[in-house]
Amino acid sequence: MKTSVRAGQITTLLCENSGWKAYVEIGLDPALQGLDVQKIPCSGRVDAGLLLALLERGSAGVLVVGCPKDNCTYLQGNYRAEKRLAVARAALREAGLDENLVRLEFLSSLDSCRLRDAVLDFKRYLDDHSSS
Amino acid sequence: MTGIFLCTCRRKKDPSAWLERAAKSLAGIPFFPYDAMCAPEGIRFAAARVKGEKLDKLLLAGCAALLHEGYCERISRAAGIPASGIDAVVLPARASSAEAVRIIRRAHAALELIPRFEIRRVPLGQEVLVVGDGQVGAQTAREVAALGYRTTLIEKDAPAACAAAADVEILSPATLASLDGRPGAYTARLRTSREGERQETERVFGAVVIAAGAPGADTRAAPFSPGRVIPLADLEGSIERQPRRDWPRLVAIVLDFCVDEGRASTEAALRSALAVRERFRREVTVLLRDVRVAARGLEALYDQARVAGVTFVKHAGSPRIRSSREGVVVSCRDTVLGEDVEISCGLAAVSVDGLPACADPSLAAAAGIDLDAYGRLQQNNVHLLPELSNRQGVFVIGACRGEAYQPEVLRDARDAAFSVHALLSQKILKVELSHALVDGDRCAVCLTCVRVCPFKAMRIDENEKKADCIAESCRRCGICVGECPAKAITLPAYADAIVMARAGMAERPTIGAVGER
Amino acid sequence: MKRYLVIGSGVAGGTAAGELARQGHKVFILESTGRIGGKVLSYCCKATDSCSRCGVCVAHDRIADALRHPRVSVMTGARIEKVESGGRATIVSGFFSNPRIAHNICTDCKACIEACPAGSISRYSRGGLTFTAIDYTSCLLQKGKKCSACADACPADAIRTAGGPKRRFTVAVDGVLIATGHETFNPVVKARLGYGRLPGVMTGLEAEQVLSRQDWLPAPVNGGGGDSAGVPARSVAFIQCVGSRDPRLKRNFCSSVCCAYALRMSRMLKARNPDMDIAVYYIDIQNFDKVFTPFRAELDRMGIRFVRGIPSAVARTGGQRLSLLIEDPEGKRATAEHDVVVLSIGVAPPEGAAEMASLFGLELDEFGFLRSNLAGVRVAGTCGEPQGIIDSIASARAAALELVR
Repeated sequence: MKTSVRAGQITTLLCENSGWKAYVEIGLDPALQGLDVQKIPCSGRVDAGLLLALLERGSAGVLVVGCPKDNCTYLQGNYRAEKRLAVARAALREAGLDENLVRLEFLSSLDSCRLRDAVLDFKRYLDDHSSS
Repeated sequence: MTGIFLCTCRRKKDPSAWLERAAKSLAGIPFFPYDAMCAPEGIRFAAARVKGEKLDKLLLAGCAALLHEGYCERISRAAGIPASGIDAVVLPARASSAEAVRIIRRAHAALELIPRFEIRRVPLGQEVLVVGDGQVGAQTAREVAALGYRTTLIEKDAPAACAAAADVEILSPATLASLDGRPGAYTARLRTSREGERQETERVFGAVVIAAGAPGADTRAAPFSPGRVIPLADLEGSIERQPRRDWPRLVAIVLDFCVDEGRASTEAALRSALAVRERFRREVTVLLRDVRVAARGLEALYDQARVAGVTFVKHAGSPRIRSSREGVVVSCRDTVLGEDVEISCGLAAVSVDGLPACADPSLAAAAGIDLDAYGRLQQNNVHLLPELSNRQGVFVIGACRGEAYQPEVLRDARDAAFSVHALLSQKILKVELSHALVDGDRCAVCLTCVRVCPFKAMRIDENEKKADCIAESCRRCGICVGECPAKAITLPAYADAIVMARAGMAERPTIGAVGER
Repeated sequence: MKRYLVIGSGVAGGTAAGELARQGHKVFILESTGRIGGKVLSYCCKATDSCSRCGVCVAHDRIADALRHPRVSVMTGARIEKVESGGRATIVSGFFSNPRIAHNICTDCKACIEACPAGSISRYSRGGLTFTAIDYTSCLLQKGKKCSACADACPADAIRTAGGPKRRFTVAVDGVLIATGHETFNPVVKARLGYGRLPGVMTGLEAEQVLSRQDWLPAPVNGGGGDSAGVPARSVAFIQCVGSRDPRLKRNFCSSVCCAYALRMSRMLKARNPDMDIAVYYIDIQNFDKVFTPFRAELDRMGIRFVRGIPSAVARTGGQRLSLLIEDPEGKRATAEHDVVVLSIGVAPPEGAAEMASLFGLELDEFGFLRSNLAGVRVAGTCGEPQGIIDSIASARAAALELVR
């Protein structure tokens, strides 16, 4: 039977220059209540090992939000993040798990609407594909 | 010790019972409820508690107002705690005390893992190096010197073309061989030559401005052909020297030959076209993709050229040029007429900026600067535009970074001088030692971090046989942390353990790759 | 430590104020309206998965830096009445409006918004820039009533109402930066394009405002004016050079920003709505990116159509669509149909430019933009010449250099 994924089980890593600023604006939106968010300096901070460790230890899904390409304050971070996410997805595939448990979104600090849509879409996906 | 400040928000009704339960659950942890944390009195309250209880970190819990950077800055200043030691969590409006405590505990556990960082005070050298003696390099050097900095200008071709300014030391011929170090103390190895002898000297500069000029294209290769197809810049010389009788009946000026050019090329083409038309009464056709007039005076110049009878053909890109002893034929698709056209002329002047540039990678390599897709000295990232490079304290302006239009470049020179001043006028840089740390036992000296760091903040410590992060250059982005194949690097404020703790997970040790620290 | 006056709180003014304050100087910002930030706050992010370098996010960062800085004081609803030169200092006097919000103390608790009986207080929060603004046209204190509800409600003591609706100020400063921004060209003057008359015809500025909230443009439905609740337009036309490069309107200059915003918006729209038909009608495309040719090529690959020729008229078709009339140099006519027409309007000098020029002893160029020959009074941003966001930021720093040296 499918159970709805609690917002608190979705780990959201927001880069401080884009995702975090976009989040602060919508942080009190009821649809995003209880979302497990934290700030990281750059989407390039994450590596496949960290993403897999989060999943291994109880996260229903990990959403990484970084700046659009060529907009990264640290210049290369989002390109790196894209490659690391690909590694994580490949590892999940090999393990027979759903590679879409990790997701990377590119959006700017101005795009709160897109952040909200991305989070809700991810939650919907996890709800539809979760097993209890 | 971390203190928790819980805002009970005086605007909400009676929180006391809730608070009592929360306080009980958090027994043992310094916990201070206050009814208006966002107000100046809340900040004063926090500052007083920090002093009284000797707290060294703050966890704020309440509404989203506490998340704002401005608030964090203010409370950081008042309490004397650096931003790295402050965290804020949002408690959902209708959260039960149990849920609130859970959120608070997680953040508290994570915050406890963040060390208290020392502050290092580093002096910022007041010397500035300018590379390039063109109009913009010279202007920048003068501006920087006028602000009181000891300025040195180097130019690769001797003698330097710019007039010596009283306070500017000019070295030429001199090139930059390497640039190591940190903002405020860059060690530049300069290669100079005197009486045929090459010398290398090391000089230390606080900041560097690179105004090395356009990379240029190969004017000996196609489509150029001496006397028939010449660079547009040479046309100006011909206008000065060549008598009327030597001018062919029709002269073509070709822009946007391979890549789109900008206002500088349009202006040069318009001026030359007008001169040929008015002085020598010859037909002139300017072929370009678009007329770039987005600057003061250019539309008027374009009108002037049309009124004078200069013909314009707006091609669809990639015109072809065939030259022979009889003349030159320029063919292209005319996008206004919607048909292919051929222009036979006696002389064609092609703007060199429309050709792919022969980028000289040696300056970029020497200065540690990343290139854009056109091979120019600045990545095409909006946070860098117009005068920053990937290294703090190293600035790039003018054609070498991608903008050739002089009025704008001279403005960029002032912008760069102001940025140099913004950096160096502080005299002392206060650096929080929260930079990336390399574990020598794990480091394999594979040089990945050195290659990967966008800010050239990683170097190899020969003595310790490990990579080492330059605290003053490090931007604390964590890219090296994610990239290191041996997982030898940590960013102390964002270590894996902290990310895991914030996500409510304990980091249990595992043997092997994933997540081990 | 010196004292500087910055007139205008938009991109250029905000950048200069923040940087001068960081260098240790005291800065006063005068803003004529009740809301700081200028036009850039209405612009949308034009990124797809990749940035288009429009600079709107950077502009928000620069203005936020200025607002947060303790050495920056903002006076809104302000007017300058007199300017005198006193040796090296310039003395500027005038008045500003109450209630006055100290942005560097405000903690965004929204108490004032809830307390205001006239609903005059609003909050802007985007891109890391958050502030509260008072609409002085509806504020009760401004209307002469004795209201101080906002000030009373503020727990941070960030709002002052003492002294009545208008308070005088006099500042002696070491330099003045004029950054009063620009007006946009009003295309009503070009009657045949149908702005203000035909539903579905909007300006570039209006398109920015809509796209900052959603990623589609509304097509008019049932003859009514499209609004954000409408149906997504399936076919959009951008008409360039509206009010620019036009000798008959005495606006014979290129506004610099219109090709940039139109093409960036087109790219963003097309990426989010791949089936949308987008056509750009132009005279010349001004390049606006350091690496422009690949950018332009990407637009071609995406299927955005570039049509060389400006439509001379826009009309309504029977089926709620808009028909553009294109006449080629030989007199041949063609029409094209779209749901929405975006007029890429140009940049005009700011309101009050002539007054600003006369107060400070500046000149106006032939099109009315401000120019200064005075060492202690500099001009930055779009009030000096049409330019984009990144250029405005650079011009602000360049002007700041001229003030500090």
